[in-house]
Amino acid sequence: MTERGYLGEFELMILLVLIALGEDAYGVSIARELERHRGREVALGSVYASLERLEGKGLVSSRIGEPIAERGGKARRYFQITREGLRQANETRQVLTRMWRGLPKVEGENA
Amino acid sequence: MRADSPPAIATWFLDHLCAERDEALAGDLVEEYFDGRSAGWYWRQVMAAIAIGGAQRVRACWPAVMFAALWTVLSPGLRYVQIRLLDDDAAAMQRIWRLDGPWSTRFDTSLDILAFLSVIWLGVAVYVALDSCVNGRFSGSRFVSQLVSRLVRALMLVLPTLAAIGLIAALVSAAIPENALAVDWGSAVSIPLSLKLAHGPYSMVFFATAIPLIFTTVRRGRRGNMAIHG
Repeated sequence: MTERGYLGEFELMILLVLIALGEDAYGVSIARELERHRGREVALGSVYASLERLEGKGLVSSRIGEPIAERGGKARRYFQITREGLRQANETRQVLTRMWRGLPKVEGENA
Repeated sequence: MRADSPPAIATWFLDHLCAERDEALAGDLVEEYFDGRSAGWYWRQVMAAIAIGGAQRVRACWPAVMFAALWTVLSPGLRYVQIRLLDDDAAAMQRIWRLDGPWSTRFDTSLDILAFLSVIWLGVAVYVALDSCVNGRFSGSRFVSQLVSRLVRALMLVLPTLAAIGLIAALVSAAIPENALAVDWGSAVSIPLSLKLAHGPYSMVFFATAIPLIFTTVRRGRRGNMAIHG
């Protein structure tokens, strides 16, 4: 049975990146995409730690690719969001959207 | 000038201190390095990966950490009982809390090291036994092989850890005035000072040795399965 729990901010970001990247998501591409959106360096170790946690919850699956010479003969590990992961990301978005809509307009805010 | 290959020492650290990671992370770092990232970036990533991996292991194995901490607290008492069996009370106290000089590691006889090893080994034995019983997989032959393997590991771990922490203790004690280290064994008031100065390095050595020994006993597999390593 899948563990039920709230997604952390970083976990949610990773799930969204996995949706955006599709089947080609691996450590480097995920970290680069996160860096592009967040505007600061991301530790690959923290990306893998979150991915492993998400995999443990059944929200992400992974497969090992072929060894690549340019990576010192090491294989890439590709990650993909599962159906349950997609459902939880959607649910979190709906909750967050409802909560944002319920807030009074903050001074200086456009939307 | 940028080197043709990633920093070898950082790679060694990654391979040896972050062993539970699969090779994908190491490959990603190599790929990024060859794609133009700096050696500084590589070092930062390796250090972060080690820190995050360590934190994950502590979180996953918190009973082992708690046990190592408890055993560290109990260890001076156990050590005292051992030495008391061999010596009189005053000599045993001096041996436990002694500070001979700036370069003393307080382990200047093989008897001290054997006493240290036997206390740590006893701790590992108790933990292995408790863990086996709690998880319902106690087996006499495996218990003995685990203990023998851990005794050998303790021998290999204790001396380098003693050397490293002894050096740190020496540097710290060299910075303290000599009269501050003088301990009057006849006065009960002097014990807290000696506890603070002398037991610090001892506890650090003990804890630093106990943690990897206990961690290697039971480690959570990457996909959540319990696995015995060793």
